[in-house]
Formats: sequence, C-alpha cells, structure tokens
Amino acid sequence: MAELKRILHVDDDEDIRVIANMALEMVGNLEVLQCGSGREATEKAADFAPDLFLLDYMMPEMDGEQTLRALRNLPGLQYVPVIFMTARVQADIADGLRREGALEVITKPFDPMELANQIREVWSSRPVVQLRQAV
Amino acid sequence: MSVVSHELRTPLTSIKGALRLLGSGAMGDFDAQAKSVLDIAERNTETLLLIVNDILDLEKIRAGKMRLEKSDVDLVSFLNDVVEMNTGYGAEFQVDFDFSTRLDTAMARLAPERMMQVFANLLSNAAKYSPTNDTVRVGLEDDGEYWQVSVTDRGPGIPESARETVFESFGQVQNTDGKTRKGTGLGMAIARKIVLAHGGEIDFESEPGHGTTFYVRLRKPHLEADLGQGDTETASYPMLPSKDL
Repeated sequence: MAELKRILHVDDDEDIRVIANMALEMVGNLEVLQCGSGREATEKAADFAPDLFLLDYMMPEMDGEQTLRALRNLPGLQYVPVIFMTARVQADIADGLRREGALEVITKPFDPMELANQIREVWSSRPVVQLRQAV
Repeated sequence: MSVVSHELRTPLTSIKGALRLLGSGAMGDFDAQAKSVLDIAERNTETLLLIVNDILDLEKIRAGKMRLEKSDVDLVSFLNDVVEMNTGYGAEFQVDFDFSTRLDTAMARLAPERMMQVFANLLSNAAKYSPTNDTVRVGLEDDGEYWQVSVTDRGPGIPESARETVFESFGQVQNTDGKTRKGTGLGMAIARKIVLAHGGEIDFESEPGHGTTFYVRLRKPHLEADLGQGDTETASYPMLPSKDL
C-alpha cells in the first residue's frame, strides 16, 4: 500500500489552517498544500497531485461536498480519497458522508498532536480499489 | 442556541489546538511558571468546550434530533465497562469505583453511547464529591418491571432544599459542606433527559453528611420479542421548557 505523503487541506478559517499545517507538517511530517476555498483548491490541486483530500465540511460558496465533486472532476484526481472535518456533530451528516465514500469524518476540535496519526491510521485501513487497466 | 454553539466550536478549535501545540513542547520548552499558565488556559478551554457540547446535546433533545441507536445490552457487562472506562477519572480524585451485583445477566434495550454518558456523569459527580481514598459503589438490582442501577458516594450529601434544582440546567447545588464542585452544570439535566427518553426514571436519595445514592431505573423488555426491535429512535421527550436554555 502506498505511503501517505501529500495532503490537500481546504478550510476557510485561516487560524485553523495554521494549526492544521503545524499538526500535519511539523508534527506529522507530511507535505501539505492549504487552500482557503474550494475554488482555490480546484485551481491548485492538479499540480500538487495529492494522495488525500482533507476538506472542511462547512465553507461559504463551495461547501466540502461541492469542493470534492469539483476536485474529483479534475484529471488524475477522480480516485483521491477524502476525509472531511466538521464542527457539526450531527451523526446523520457524518453517516451520509461516509456512505458517499469519505474515509472518515473528523470532528473539530481535533488534537493537533494526534491529527496526523489519526489520518495515517484511516489511510492504512482504507479499502484499496484495484483498477483493472484496459488491455 | 444550536447555531451559536456550532459557531463557538470553530474558534475553540483554534484556541485548543494552539494551546495543545504549545503545551506539548512541540514548539519549544517553557519554564514551569509559563507551563502552569498554559495548563490553566488548556483546562478552561476544555471546560468551555464541554459546556458548548452539553448545550448542543440539550438542544438536540429539545429539537427532537438526538438519535437513540438502541441495541440489546447486558447491563452487567455494560456496567463493568462503565466502571472500567471511568477509572481514570476517579483516580484524579483518588476515588475507586466498585461494581457488584448478584445478577448474572440483565438484558435491556438502550442506546449504549448515550447511556454511557448518563453513567459517566453520575460516576464523575460521585467521584468529585467523595472523600479522597474512598470508593463509589455501583449496584444493579432486579426491581420487578425495572432494572435498578445505583451509584452511591459517601460525600457531603445534597440538601433537601436543592432537590428541585439538581436536574435543571446550570442547576449545580451547594452541598451540605457549603462547597460547589467544578462542572458544566448541564450534565445532570442531560442525564435525566436521556433516561426519560429511554422510558426510564432517575432520582436520588441523600443523607446530609453521609452521602448520596442516585438511581437509574430502566424498564425491562416486556417480552423476549421486544429484544431486537426498533433500532433507532429520535429522542424528543421530554420537551424542554425554553427557560432551560
């Protein structure tokens, strides 16, 4: 199974981006591209070629689900796994996101000392889709 | 209130995260005095977050949005788990929890996570009010139509005058030793609403100076056929009067 190296993190809250960046880069030793909106993410994602999307669920203009749809329409990114983060703790929302294929829904506030471990655990236990190449 | 609580969680995420990064030493070491100030900020942020979460829980119940995902649970093993999971909290107050019962099994239909919340609340309160190096007793009895769980401490007791306020929001009472203990002031209100939403009862007996016993009574499934029926319910009873929030 491929190692998790590059995460695209999208959150409209600048302070949370700072904390998450430290949690993932400084503590977790991951390479992170951060964007403040779904629109910015769709502009930069393809060049970054992330292994994983980490998306805030509640964002203005494009919310997390809309951002995911836009990202998945980009060439080469249609199978990138996603984890959502949300301050909303309604179980039905989290269940719905998991049903739609989210690897995990992480509830804010997250522990910055544990975030990278949490994401790596989810990453390593994800079901891997075997894509059969056309001959 | 629900929207306000959600909005509070976002800045709390940044505050809590920043303090955690500083307190962990990930950004360099602090001297003992600075560390103690950071600890104060971390503890109080945690308390604020608990209050926000409790308000959200109460609001969910009031709005009929708290889901009770019920399953068939053996209360004997469930209460063993309750005690085990809360042992660490008791240790903070140098208080042990001891569960004993004559029953081998006691099947009930309940939402385990929510009922765990109820007993975590009762055990944490009992620990907070117990004398140090004491033991909080948890019991389980067959009481006809009900299983009766008891949580007994030998703390200062609750004055009769406070009987009406114990289960109210922000209804922390001054005990007979004249002290109040730290807490969100919402836990017992939530516990009561969760128990009532299960069709159960919650009450207490207290003898000032000698301790308090809280009772949770959970209705037995009437027939074997009751077990395994109805996986999810939404708790909307009892409706909270608006003054509660």
